Amino acid sequence: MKKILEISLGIVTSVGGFLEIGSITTAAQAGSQFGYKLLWAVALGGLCIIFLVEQNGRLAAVSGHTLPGAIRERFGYNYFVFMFLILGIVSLLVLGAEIGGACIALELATGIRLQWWAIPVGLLSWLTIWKGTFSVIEKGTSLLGLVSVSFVVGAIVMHPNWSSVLHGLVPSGQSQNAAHYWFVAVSILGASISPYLYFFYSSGAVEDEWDESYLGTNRIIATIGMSFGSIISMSVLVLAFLVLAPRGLQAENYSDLALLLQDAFGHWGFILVVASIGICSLGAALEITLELAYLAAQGWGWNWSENVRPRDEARFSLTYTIVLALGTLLVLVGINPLQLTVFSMALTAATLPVSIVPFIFLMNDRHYVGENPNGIFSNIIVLSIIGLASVLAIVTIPLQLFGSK
Amino acid sequence: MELIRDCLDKQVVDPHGKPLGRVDGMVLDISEGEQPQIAFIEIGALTRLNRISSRLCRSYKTFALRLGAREIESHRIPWSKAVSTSIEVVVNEDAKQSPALGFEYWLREHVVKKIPGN
Repeated sequence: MKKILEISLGIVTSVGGFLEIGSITTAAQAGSQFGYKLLWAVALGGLCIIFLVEQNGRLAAVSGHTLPGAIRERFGYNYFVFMFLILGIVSLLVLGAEIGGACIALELATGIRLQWWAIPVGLLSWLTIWKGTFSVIEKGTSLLGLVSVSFVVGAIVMHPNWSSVLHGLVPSGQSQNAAHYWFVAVSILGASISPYLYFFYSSGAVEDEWDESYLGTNRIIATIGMSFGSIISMSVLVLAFLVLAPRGLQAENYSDLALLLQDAFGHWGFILVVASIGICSLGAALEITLELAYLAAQGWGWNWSENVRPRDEARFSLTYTIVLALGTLLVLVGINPLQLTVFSMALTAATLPVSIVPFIFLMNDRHYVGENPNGIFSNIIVLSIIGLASVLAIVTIPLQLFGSK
Repeated sequence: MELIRDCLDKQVVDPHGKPLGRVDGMVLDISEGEQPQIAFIEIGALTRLNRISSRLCRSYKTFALRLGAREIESHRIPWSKAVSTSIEVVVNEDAKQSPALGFEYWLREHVVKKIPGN
């Protein structure tokens, strides 16, 4: 019974914590600009994150190592520093986008410009981490994030043409505006395969003291949780096509996002969208902030846990304080949150190999995963992910220059 | 034991499991005709920086001394204090007294304890 409860809570947490401003924006741009044609990118990103999350959980449960710790041991200090710098810069940009997302929701709700909300949102995030426990942060924000399931209900209520939806799951090219099409595809993949998702998951597994008895739980949570999460992203894409495209909107302004559920639920739709963007972005901001602090603490061997008092882990708590301050600063200086979101998601895709390449080594090293290494199927999937990520890295930069409007 | 695989960069903890840092470097005792022995493990920024670039290490040292830092040398723990090496290197040194955590304790006293709700 305890295991069933844990699995249910794990799935709920994964579903509620999946959506954030990156996946909402990129899916909405895809749907409003290219119809269902980019659904395959959301599905592929979802498949990748299922495998990555499962493998991170397995690594933590079997070896007791977190990913940053294992990477430093296996690949040395210099590689760890290289990875930390790359992930640090990209994650800071994504954090700025998420804080911006929460501010967008508050601007939509109150009419007060989003820059005014940057400091209150930054302070609220900091207070939540400073005073909260891991469980409160992870499960609290994710449970509230379940409001994002309203996108799925909304998509069903709007009666899409299911045969066209299924057709969109098959990858296809685009002759007109091809550069922008692939740029949006890259951004979707970057938003789906977020390193913070699997780093945070791995730290959670160690915080919750998972051992080998959790392997089944881990597999179920990763598969079902991330699948449902992807379905929410797909629903946003479907809604964007059905609601925004007919109005000639391309989800390039955040007021466009506010309309996503209007046709399905009227005024309640506006409230649900604002709540979803606000809660999910705030939850993601908390997770990214902690991910960066975990990355530093685990790599340098500091005391780290979100369950002890800040004074007992001074370096860890000061790291997340500085990270949050920097993320808040990005919104304060007036960077457009939606442009920052799309740019940071593409950059995430470009830098995926930095954290994914070490995976294939670790997940096949019996010194770490014992009798639970990757099977051939898992290896093929991981290799494909690495191949995909490498190609994305090569194509993203020119796409960023010539494809982004 | 394979030094790089089984010791370097591993988490170092005290007997109560409290982290001291990671094995940033090792000092070997090499005598002619004998197997090399680990004399000390090192924890500290200078050792880490030296692994990236000796020039960077020297610059950091000069900078830290100019700022008035007193203890910048890496902390050495005699290998004889190592109790076990599996996932972590457990050493017989109390984290509460260890110079390896000097910066952590300085930050605690001078910064974190001044922030409300710590």
